[in-house]
Amino acid sequence: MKKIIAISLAAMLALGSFAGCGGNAAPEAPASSQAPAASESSSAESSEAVQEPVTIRVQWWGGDDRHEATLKAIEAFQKKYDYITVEPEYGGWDGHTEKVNTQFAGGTAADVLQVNYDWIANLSPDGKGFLDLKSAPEIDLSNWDESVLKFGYSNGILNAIPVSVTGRSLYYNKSTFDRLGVEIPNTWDDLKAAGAKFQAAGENMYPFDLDTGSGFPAWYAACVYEQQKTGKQFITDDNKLGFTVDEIKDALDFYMSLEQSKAIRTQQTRMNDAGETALYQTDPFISGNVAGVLEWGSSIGKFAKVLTEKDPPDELVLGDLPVIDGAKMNGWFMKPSLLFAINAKTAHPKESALFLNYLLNDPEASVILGTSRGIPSSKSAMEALKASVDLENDLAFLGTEQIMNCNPCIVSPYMENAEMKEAYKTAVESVSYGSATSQDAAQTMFDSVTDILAELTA
Amino acid sequence: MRNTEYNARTLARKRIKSVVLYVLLIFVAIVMLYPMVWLFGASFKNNAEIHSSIWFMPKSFSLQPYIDGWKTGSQYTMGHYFVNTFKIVIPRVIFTVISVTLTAYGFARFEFPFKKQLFALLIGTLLLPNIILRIPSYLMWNWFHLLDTYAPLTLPALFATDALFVFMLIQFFRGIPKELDEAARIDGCGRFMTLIRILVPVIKPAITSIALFSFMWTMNDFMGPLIFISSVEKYPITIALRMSMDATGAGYDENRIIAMSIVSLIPSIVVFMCAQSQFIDGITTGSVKG
Amino acid sequence: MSQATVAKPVLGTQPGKKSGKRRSRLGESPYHGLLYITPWLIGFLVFTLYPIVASFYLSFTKYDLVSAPKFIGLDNYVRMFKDPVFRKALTVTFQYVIWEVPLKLAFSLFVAMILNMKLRGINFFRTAYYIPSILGSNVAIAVLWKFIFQTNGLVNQVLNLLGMPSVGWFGEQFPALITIVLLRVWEFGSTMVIFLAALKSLPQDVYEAASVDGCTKFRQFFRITIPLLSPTIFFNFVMQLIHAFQEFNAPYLITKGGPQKGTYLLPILIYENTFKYYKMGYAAAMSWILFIIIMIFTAFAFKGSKYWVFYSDDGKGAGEKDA
Repeated sequence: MKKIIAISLAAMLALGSFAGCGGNAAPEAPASSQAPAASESSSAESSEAVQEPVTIRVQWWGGDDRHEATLKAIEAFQKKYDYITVEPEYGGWDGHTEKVNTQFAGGTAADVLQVNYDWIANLSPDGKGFLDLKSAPEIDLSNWDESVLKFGYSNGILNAIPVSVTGRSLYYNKSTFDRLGVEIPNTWDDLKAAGAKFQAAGENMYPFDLDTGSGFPAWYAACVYEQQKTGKQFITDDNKLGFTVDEIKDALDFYMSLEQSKAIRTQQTRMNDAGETALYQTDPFISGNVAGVLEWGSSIGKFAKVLTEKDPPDELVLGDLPVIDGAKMNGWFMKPSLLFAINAKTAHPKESALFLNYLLNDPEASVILGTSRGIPSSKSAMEALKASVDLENDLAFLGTEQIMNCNPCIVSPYMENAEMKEAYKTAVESVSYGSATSQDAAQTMFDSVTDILAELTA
Repeated sequence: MRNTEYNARTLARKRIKSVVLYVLLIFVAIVMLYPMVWLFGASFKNNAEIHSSIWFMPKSFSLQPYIDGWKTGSQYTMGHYFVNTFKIVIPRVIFTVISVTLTAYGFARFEFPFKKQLFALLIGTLLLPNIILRIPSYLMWNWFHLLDTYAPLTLPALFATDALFVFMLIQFFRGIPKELDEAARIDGCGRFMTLIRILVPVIKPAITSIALFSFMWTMNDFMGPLIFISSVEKYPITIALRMSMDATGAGYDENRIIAMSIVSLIPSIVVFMCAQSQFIDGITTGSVKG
Repeated sequence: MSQATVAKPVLGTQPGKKSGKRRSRLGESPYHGLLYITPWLIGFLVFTLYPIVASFYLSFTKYDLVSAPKFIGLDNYVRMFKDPVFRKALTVTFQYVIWEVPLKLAFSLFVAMILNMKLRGINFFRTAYYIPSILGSNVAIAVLWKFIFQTNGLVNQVLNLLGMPSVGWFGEQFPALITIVLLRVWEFGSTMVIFLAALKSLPQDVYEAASVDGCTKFRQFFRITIPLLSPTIFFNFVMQLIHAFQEFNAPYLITKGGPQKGTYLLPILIYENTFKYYKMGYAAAMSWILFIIIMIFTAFAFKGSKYWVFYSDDGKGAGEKDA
């Protein structure tokens, strides 16, 4: 009896609930809306036809600024399209991925979603988890260069639009450098030389840090260096591992040279100093003893904030992107900081697309939203924003501009995969702690990265 | 004469003993309480101050973090989220206490077929890590069409699904001699009345602690509401607290979150202080006479 | 006083013959008890069973949350035993359990004994000692733990004062694990409250009889308190065991499993596979292995309890002796 129950339950599971999450519901929805869409959208704006009331759910994560701005934008949107009700579902970052994953598993996700870069590959591996945005005429795609849009593709289908792009740059605590009379570094060698000068001023003084708390900056830096040296991409455009074992070893050796020159703390010292706490929440950074960080332009704000809160305040400045002599490519990376997508299972693809277009392109919305989601990548939004706020001294803006203009490499959607990050972390930790030679660590990393990529792209 | 001398000496020894005891108690109390004190101080600090000193005293006091925190960045105030929390907590505590007491009584005092197997099943439900059950239970509540309601967070409590509490009460029931209920029954008390009149008073401290834990853990539950509740309007306090925390963004004032987390601790502290008088009552009612 | 020696240790699941007879004497249906557990039984069938069965089924599949689960037989289980990360997590989990469970039990019992005394201001101390448990996973905990154990943190300053060298708490595997154990021991309030509730339910007359017999406090503790408290000690032991094997929040809050996976407990691995690697099938398989491990330990605990846990409901309790 028990067995029968168990087996039938299992069968139920296999057939019913879990199968429903695939893409099979997707094709119908956009198809029905495609044809009349263009005419309807214009009629909506002139509001001549009486529209059936429609409710769409919109989901995002963020902080108070973003919540307040987005809620205001929603209000303005609803005034413009009075037959559409937008139900906001928002929260902090903590647990948000878990929530969205669960909703995707249950087929209950919102209509319009703010998505993280790596979600596209995870939640829509075949490109059918999100709506094909090329099939939504409501969205004016001419506002983005194809080079920006290409972050939003999965399996050749435009799944999402980047709200803003970002990349890691080097930021320095200028006040500390001034106090010690050290020049802000321009090259990798400058940085290493600064290491020695800082050590002379104190054992716990370092010019830079690769904040492991928030991801994989140690490998990021090593990887940029190796890309400059070899001209090869770490992950190629067809999603294969571009580096050989020796090249990974060379990158890890470069990381170790930063540690040895005291440009950065060893992994062990950094852990002892503050565990896994993010750098901007630790005393070494706030006190100015650790005077630099490799950080995304989109999140540098919180680093600058703690320094300005000090009494007297310290100043955080943007440094040059170091490039080695005879570099075969620039090697620095760019990625979308946030994207927006429409759930393929939405019952209202047309209205969702209307809202998305409003949020990303409308001048009115752009002014309301400001930089609450970073520096907008939409041209029309950027124009409207530039007219209303002064961005020239905004660190996030400067960083973003620096990356966009440096002829950057593209962060592969798999580069930030959580399992890949684990592999980088293991490699960096084992060379830093000396529990493996760089050769062995490189071999281990090569093997696991090859396996993970094979599995992801299978 | 000798007797009074002896008494004085034991009195002195007792006094030294109690001084040592109090010094120890106070030292441990500081270790236990300091974080709370620090937290209170931190609610007046800026981010830089919060993360650079373990000393609790802020440089300046301002009620602004409390005012801003209470307003929140959402459409509702913290008061709204507090009410939501109680809409979950109160039914849950009541349901739990009743259903758990009945179930534990059944297991502790009766013989019935498959008792051994059912008890093993009860314990078995505790052994699987919760993380792995989250997605399947989400799917299940989706079938019931009860997502985005408080049902997934309260309804199961009506059916003694907190096996831990059942097990706990079974242990307490089993600490009571059976003669106690048998005497009651000979006096003409039914099995149910025996439970209410005789046994419940004896294990009142245990029942109180179950109510206490149920209250506290539901107050602190983050993952449950996170997954089951999608409307902001229905968020409980734990979710609301983290609503302005965005580690991926440009940063936020941490003092507001700390201020509100202190406010959110108040109910639990008050409830604990009330509940602990029950432990003292236990001295008189808990005494078992055969 | 002699309760301990008279009481016969019997498991809750074993029907005592004697009591069975007594029951039939009072003319009771064997199904009466089922009535009381019906709510739980319904709850189990409606709310608890499905997720458990589902996770069991998923452990034989490859399931990425978005596409339908694909049945792959025992692959997940085979893979696990070749996975060095799984082995590491398992080792760390055992290490954690071995340290956390006895430390927390002993500390809670000790403090509960003290807080059970009739002292002035005892209410204040009880509340104070419970505060850490109320804090739970509050955002401030991670910050404070950092201040306490960082290089120039509180603990190292005290060590230096005592002439001892600083310890790198977060940078090395074992010390990092200890910081987590200490966090959980610090949050000992709930275990203590259960002990306290049990101490309050103890029959006072047994102690009175013991004092009359001239029994010392020390002997009272081991010959009366411990035996009478044994059902509660057993409960707390089993619960701590289960919780320790399932510990997730503390390491996730403080060390994120590092350094070098030195605090990477199995539930973290399960969590990351479910929500970060999109490998729920593999995570389910690991959960079931963890289930089996906990089950073995719990079963041993129950078997062993026959020899040291004394239940007063066995017909020969203190009450009967007094009567």
